[in-house]
Amino acid sequence: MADDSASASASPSPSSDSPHQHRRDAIKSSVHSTAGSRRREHAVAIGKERREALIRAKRVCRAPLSGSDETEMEEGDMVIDEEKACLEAKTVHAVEELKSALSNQGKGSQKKKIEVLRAMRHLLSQSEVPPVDAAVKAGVVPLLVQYLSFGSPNEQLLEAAWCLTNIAAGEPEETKSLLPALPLLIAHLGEKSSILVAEQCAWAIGNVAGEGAELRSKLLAQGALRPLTHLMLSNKGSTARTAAWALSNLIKGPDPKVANELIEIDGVPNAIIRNLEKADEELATEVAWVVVYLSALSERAISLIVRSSVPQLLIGRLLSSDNLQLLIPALRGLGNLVAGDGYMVDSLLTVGNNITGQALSGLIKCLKSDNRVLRKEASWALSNIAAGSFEHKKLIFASEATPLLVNLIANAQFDIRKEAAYTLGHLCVVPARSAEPPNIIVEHLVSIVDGGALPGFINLVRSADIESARLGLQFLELVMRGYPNGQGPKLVEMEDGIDAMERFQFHENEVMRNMANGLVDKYFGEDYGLDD
Amino acid sequence: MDCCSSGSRNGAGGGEAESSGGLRRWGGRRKTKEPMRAKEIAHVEKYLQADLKTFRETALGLAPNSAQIQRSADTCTATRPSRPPTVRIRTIDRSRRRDATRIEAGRGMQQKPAAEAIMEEETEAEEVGMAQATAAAASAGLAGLGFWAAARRRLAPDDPFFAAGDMERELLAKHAALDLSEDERYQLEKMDVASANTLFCPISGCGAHLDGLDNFEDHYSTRHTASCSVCWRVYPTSRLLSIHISEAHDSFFQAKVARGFPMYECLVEGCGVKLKSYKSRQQHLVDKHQFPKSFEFFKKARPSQHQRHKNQQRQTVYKGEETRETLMDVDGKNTRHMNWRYRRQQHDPNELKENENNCKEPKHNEMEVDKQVDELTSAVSKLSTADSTPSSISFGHRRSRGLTFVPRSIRQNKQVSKAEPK
Repeated sequence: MADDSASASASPSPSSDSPHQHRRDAIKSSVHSTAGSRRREHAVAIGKERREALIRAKRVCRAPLSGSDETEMEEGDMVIDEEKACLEAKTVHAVEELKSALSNQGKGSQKKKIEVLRAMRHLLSQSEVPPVDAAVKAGVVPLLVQYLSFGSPNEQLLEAAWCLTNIAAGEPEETKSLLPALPLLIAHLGEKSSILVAEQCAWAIGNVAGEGAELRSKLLAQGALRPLTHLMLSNKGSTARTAAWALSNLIKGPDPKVANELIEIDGVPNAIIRNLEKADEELATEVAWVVVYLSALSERAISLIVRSSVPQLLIGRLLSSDNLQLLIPALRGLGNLVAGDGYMVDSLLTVGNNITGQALSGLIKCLKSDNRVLRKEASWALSNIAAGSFEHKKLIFASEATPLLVNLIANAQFDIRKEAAYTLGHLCVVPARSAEPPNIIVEHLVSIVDGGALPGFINLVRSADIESARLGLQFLELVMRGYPNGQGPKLVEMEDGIDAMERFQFHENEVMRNMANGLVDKYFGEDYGLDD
Repeated sequence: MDCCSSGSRNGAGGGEAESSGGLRRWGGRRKTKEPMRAKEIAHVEKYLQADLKTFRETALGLAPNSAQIQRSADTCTATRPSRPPTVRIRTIDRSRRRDATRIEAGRGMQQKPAAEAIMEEETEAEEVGMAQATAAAASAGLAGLGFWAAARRRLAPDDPFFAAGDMERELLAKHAALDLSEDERYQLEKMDVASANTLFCPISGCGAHLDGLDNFEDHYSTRHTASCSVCWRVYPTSRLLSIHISEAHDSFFQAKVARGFPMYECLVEGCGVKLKSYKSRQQHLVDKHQFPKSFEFFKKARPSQHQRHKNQQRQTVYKGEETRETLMDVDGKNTRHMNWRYRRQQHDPNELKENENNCKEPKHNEMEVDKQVDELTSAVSKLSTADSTPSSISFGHRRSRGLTFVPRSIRQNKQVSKAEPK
């Protein structure tokens, strides 16, 4: 919803393909700045609905697909502030037209069909808030299904699929209304279809898949997986990208079955590798998301992926790109791999390998980022590496990561502080044999505590979140047990640690009460302070 | 649980605590020990009985909010029904530590034992830091409590942890990020961080619903820090605060004790036992409720650095203070140092006045106190929660003399008790 200049700067770096490539999701809009600022004001008055619409995993198609020979360059067509009632009236009218055009025969009927479809499509793609509800209520979907019938001319299929795409991008009920259209949409993904038609159908299917698990399983049952995968292998960049995006929506679970199936399909692993390596950032982004979900859900996929060049490619992208859209899935994919398979930390990222240093650099880059998602997920990924071998801990400890983490645990928002806490704590312990307390790496502990991390941990103790409080208490235990010369308790006391622990006297959770009380008793008992 | 509907509970006990903040500064320590008139004694005795019973019944069922009179604007947000009191204070008994078998092995521990260097270092640290016989045995006692487990953590793709990243993905894809103002961005972020974190207050008996973790601190400091305005000790429930106040600042209480009444209430909810001395109560806690011997309800606190600095300006210490303190701290462990930030050692109300109100006379203290008490009372009476209480009531001519305060429940019982003998 940006004006042209803004959209050009905001979109990912345009590929070498057609100039329309980058405007895939952008709305063709007025060049006038007044329109832009009006939109911005409008956007500022954002409501919950719009927020939810923004966060949906569905995408409205506002512009013709790249490579389409739609020559009508409509200008200034972005319709905003249109009276809702007016829009709805137009919509109902358009649906009626659609209906009557279906029964037309003879000369000019085909042209008429395209016309009415286009009118419908305009309403659904150029209004700021497309009148999807009105259209669905007027019965547009069954009509569109008819327009999708086999043998229809490509242009007709394209327009019909486009309409369905935008209907599916709406509210859950609206997306569900596409059920009758699914078999045809899937069918038109086939290799004999025009590539544009297939791409548009993939987009529609992606929106449907983004709705929820139920629709996903419907799509899978009807056989959407293979043809989509095939499209992802396409040479046409935008097609591959749309298909990859649709796939990422399709496999995101929570049922791991699909992810397991996908990785087994011929050519998929190679396609992933090829695209991560060479493709432009837009395509690489969507493929990286596929990797994210594969690595989160499928054991088989993880074990294949970690042994391929994918980890290296992800790390490479992490280091080389500055595009937030790509960094997020690259980071998360890496995080999932590290968390999901010991192979990553134990065998691949062993200390001394180049890749390990690079991985660490990439993660540190994210820790330093302005964007909190990167900081948060990098802390998580790092925590899992820090849970590795002693060498890993030494490596991380000696790096820039430590002061960054100490700063995060002091100053960041709660969720980031928690991850930083995990990492810092992991850096200080090496697990002992079971039934024994972990061994403390005193050098690390001292440095981290002296670096000012203690208040952050004590803050966590005060948190309402049990897991964080537990984390904080566990770290205090380390400090009080392991800080040299028995200074631990004193340090904890100075930061109001006792007070934080004593809160737990009345905590409803017995384990926490016992834990905190145990620590206070042990370290601040009768003998405490007698030496003073 | 609705802390505001206390009508049926006869002006439930608890909530009689002093407010922190406004009245924090007033001296309040009763130095005079004038005998009370028999009539007064009889009155209060009856109500004290009633009140203690009410304490037992209702203390933890109350929103501790009632203790925070100064924050009267807060409305009770507890949404869960009050649960039967189950708080056990400090249930770890040192002697059991060695037998603990519940040991939490680190999950997914994959690493071999540490290099020798670490072992050495750690052993040294242990020797220096530990007061227990053997490190292993002592640690085993804590083992059931959970040591740091250095293990990988895997997260499902739909884990709320990833919500922020997912949102970012969609915003970027729709180029909508541009159109979001700073404010909107901030709101979205806040939505994300808070949404995954709606929870209930974990303090036993509270049940308040919290919207986000940020709000927990606010909630905690307003509702779980019932503080004594006399000595500024803070308690997380109004019941404990009221017990403290009775025991530490109430000469009437002491009068009863002196006459041999069992006044020291067991701290554990629902127990109901009352003992004749602080020490015997302590023993009861250890014997019957497995409290550690080191537990000390009324502790001598080592003041925080800030306090110590302020204390340096003190001049004299009242003898009365000392007597009182030895009376209280029966165990005689006067040197115990606990950093209860809200506790000033060697509390000297006169000094406080000098520091804050430039008032030097004890008499002025009391008048000041009365005035503040009046203000508080009137403010309190405007509160909606019935558990808010006046900081003191007055019997006869000597206003607020001899009683630091009496819970509102007593005052209410005064009116009601005739109809409903407890």
